[in-house]
Amino acid sequence: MTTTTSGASALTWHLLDRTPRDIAIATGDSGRVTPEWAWGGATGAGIRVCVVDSGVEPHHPMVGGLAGSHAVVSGEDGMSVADIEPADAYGHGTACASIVRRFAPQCEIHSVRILGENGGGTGDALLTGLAWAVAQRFDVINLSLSTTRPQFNRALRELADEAYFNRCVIVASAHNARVESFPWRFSSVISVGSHAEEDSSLVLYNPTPPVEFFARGQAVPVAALGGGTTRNTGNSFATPHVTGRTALILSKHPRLTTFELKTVLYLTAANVRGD
Amino acid sequence: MICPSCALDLPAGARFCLRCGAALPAGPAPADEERKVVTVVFCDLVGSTELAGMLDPEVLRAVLLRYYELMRERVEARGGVVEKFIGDAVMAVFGLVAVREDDALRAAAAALDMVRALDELDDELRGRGGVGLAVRIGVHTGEVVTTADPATRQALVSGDVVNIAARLQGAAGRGQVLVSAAARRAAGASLEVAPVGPLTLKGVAEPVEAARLLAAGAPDRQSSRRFDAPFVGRERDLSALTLAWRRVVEEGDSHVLTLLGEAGVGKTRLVARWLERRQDEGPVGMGRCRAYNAAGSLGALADCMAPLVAEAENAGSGSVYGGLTAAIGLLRGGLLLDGTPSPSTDETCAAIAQVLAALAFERSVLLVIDDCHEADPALLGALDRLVGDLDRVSVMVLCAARPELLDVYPSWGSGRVNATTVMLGGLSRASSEALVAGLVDVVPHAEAVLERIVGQAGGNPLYLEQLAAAMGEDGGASADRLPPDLHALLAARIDRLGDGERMALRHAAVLEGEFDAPGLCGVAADVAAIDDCVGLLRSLARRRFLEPIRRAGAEQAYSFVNAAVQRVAYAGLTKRRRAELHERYAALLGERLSSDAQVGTHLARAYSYRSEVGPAEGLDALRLRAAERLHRAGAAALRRVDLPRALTLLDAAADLWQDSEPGLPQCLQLLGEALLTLGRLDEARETLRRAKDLADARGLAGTAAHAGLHLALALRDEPALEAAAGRALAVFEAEGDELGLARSRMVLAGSLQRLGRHTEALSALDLALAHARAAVADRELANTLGAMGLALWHGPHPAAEAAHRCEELLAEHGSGRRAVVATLGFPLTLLYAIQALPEPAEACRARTRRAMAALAYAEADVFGPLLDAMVSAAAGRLREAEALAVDALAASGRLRSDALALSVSLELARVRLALGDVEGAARATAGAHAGPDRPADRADLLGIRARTAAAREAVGEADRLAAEAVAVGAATDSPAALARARLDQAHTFAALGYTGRAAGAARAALRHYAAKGHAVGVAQARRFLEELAPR
Repeated sequence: MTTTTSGASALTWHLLDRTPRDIAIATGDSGRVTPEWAWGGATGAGIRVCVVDSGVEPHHPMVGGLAGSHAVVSGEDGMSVADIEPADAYGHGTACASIVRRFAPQCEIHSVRILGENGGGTGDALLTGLAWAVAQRFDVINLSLSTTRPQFNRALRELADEAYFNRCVIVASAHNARVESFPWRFSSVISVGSHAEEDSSLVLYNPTPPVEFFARGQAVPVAALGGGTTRNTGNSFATPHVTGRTALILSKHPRLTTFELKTVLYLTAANVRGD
Repeated sequence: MICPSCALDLPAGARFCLRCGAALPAGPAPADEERKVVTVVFCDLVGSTELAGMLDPEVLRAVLLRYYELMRERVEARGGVVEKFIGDAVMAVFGLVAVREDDALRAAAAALDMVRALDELDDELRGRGGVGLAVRIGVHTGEVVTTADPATRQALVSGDVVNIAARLQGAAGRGQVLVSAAARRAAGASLEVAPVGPLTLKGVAEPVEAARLLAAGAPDRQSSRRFDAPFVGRERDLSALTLAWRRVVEEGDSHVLTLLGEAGVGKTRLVARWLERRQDEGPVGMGRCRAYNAAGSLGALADCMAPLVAEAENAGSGSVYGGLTAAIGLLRGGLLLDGTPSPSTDETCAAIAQVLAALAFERSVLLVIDDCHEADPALLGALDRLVGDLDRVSVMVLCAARPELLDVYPSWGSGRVNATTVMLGGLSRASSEALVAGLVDVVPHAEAVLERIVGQAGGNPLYLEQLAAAMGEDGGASADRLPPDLHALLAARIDRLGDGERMALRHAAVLEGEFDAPGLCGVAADVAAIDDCVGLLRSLARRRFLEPIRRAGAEQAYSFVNAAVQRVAYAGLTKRRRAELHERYAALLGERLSSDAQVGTHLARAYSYRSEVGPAEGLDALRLRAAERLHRAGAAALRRVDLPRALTLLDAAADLWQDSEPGLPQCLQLLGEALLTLGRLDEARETLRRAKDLADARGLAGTAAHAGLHLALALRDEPALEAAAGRALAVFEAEGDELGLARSRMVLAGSLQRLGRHTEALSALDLALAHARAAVADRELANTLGAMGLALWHGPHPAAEAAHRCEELLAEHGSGRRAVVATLGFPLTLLYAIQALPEPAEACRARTRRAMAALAYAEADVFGPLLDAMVSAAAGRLREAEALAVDALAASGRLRSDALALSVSLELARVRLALGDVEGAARATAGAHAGPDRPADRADLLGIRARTAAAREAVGEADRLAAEAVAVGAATDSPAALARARLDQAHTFAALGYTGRAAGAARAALRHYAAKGHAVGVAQARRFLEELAPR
């Protein structure tokens, strides 16, 4: 199998100023790995997805039932993860969960709240929440956020590696601004940026990483707090598209390692298949 | 009515507050009243009773006088004002006469000073065998109302702010200072405290979060700045500094560079970064001016000179400059000792010039003086004089200041050749985003997050820092409140304006977007004449509160430099004044023929403030005016199919209408329509039910009929809908309600369409179209045209003719109406697709999808992917079509629409049949039901079931189902439905081995498809016949 790239040579964070045609990739025969083989007929059943974010609103019609609701809390011995009543004061986690649910209607969705009421979070809470989620060996972890602080780099990288070798897939959103942040920059996670197409089923492979995949991230219909719907823009909302597809693939092929899964995502990307 | 001082709810007509005793305003609100955030320090003496018992009255009096004096000294030393002595208690206020950005921090520091001062006094008394004296202190920050008139000031600093400070004082231990959470937030990060938890205080409704104050950092605004934040986007400004410096080095002459920029824009950071880059390029002296500093008037210059004098001393041994030693001696004995020009300014400047000249002989010298706007006039005078003395000496004086410097010293830098001014503007958008990204540990990657912060900050790094910091905290600041530090900073800037400018700025904050002098004068006529307004706005622009807007026309227009300034300026208006101004602005907008939405929004705000603080006269009339305007605006937005806007406006109007008023049922009915179209079913049903009940009770037949129609729609109950439409028709005819007529005709046409009577439906729709046009209702027009398109697509008109008719309708009605493009585009795309015209089909599909996306119709989530699926299926891209149909099915489930779900599952089943996946088709339609009232769908479903039965070799059942499908399909006037049923029958026969009958049925299908001009169907039938032939 050979891979050639066309078009851009610079590193890319998103695909907002170009079209899928600009990054067409010619592969040899990708064999039996087709979208139909990868996720045809799959529903996400049996897959445990964890949304590490601002929490998830209970009983939202676009999210449905939650299999677990947790939060990072501060105690006397530092931070830990505790069970909480499902809630989302900020709305970001609920929006992301609704996209995952749309793609994988029968997966389990778990939530770990690490962001505060106004949307910001601390690096320590991120580390605590992510470490917990990796330890639980969720099949897929959706991270529509990142930290720019280099001091968390090493611990995050170790966590991402642990997840990678334990079939716990971290799907991490690239930053919207052209800045360095983590963990999406690591090769052990699946990183996602936005394309500008209005097509939720279109996932593209990026021949010029750091961002490895592009999915729909512009005016995406998502759940709004209070049971409503709205449209949101940003890499945050591209990421759960790939999380959802990952859940579908894993529900059909539960033995895939993270390495193999990433390869399946690559081989089924629309620009790689030449669709 | 509510007391403006302490917020107690009062009976109407009260003239004094029942709790705090404040006199309540009557008549129009005084224009010079302002709301201010102040910090109150309440201090009481512990053990004064014992003291009274122990000391002779004369001694006691002397001790108490010392105590009062000490407390006043400490308060004033930090810039506060002692408002009153109440027995042994002292009440001090910070931020009343002059607002400073660090008032809360100053108050905290003063409180600690007061405790220390009393300890010293007690030590003194103990020395004389005295008793243990101590104070306890409470500190709290909150809003009060003040006037510019000092005589009435004291009476107004009362109410909750003082009460909480006093109660905190009561809860404090001996020698302790308790600060409220509000005071802590306002003081920022430099307070060191030990939390004591929430306290329940007498007379205060909510528990107060309090903490014991341990230490307060120096009142230096720089201490809270984030110097670890990334430095972004200042290359051009750095080059300007370097350029000036090179000139000083190369030409060997002095130069003054003034770096101007508003608070927080990054002057200090820029200079620090520049110095870092410069590396070792000669001696540097640095000083900062502090308005509030014990050092002498030339303190900043002294800080600059100290290292330079030391260097000159070291290097100058054996110097040719004989006078240098004397100059150094003079500076050591005066300027460097206490920061004063001693023995005189002239001699001090001459001595400095001599030292600088000696150093510059070797290498060029740099002096940096920060915060020059805080400088004592003496310092600015000395600098001016010094630069005059530095002719042909290679020295650069870099002065950083806020633009206020030019107010105090208008001639600064002018009239001199060797002086330049660099104006430091805000950061670009990209730089702002990069800065924010580095300020919060973890951020979600939704664009709205950055948008909110970057939009409010207007490129000011300090604002960015504070808004970003608030994002990382719980509570406190939120989407509609600024972080306290930022509020305090801006409040202080605004407070430093002259009375006229300050009031103009506050009044302008009521205006929306761009405004001009006549606009400002229109609301503020009682405080400023038009000529004054012109000057005031110009001056506010010069001070960078406002931004002049370039536009053609006679009047110069302005806007606020950023949203934060506007909010803080607005927050300073009393609520009574806000109510008056919004009402006046609404009247002005009304005269300028502005939109109902604009006028209504301002009337509603006026009403909301007036209902809080009075006066009550005319309040109801104001409410009605607001409700009418918003209602009208909401109805218009709904007609334009601007759904989110309609929802906001109608929601606001429904809040204003009262149950007994006829406006309410009508408003709720419109609101229900908007909710229904947005897919918020449960809310729509509840709202429409309430609208119908209210309208029925009041005998509003038309409104009740509209509500009833939509309720039946929302309940997804087709028989009830038809019945309601039949009944409503008479009501609408009687009332001449074109909109109602359009709607009920459309419902009736819809039922004909469902029955497969498309030709009749088209005639009914012609009527509906005429009514929709007469009603000027875009949504009904779009829905009617969409229904006509569907009838043309399904009905007997040949596809080419039908497409042509759709094109004509689109040309006539589609221009400027996205809704029409969306509804008519759907059948038109399919008409192209079935004629096997991929290019026009794709162009029409893309245009239709764009229109759908822009509309936010909930149903577009189904129709969008369904359309894509049908186009893909017609083009033979079956796998793609299947995935899209699955998407559409999931979306129809969310809408809870059985009719839509049925259409989509039939389409999905058809795609699977084409893929040869008979069982998949069976699964897709497993739970589907289509009764005799929808024959086309029924024929479709029966055909699918016949083919499934044939594949399962249920011979008799397959035969029977296929025949029934044909019979049911024949009852419609849809050639395609009949053709499809015939082709299903052909497939069934073929599967059962009846080749001859299969060919006959397929030929019949071919004829019907050909009659419709359905090229895709024709091809399918032909292919079937070809494949059948060899068998």
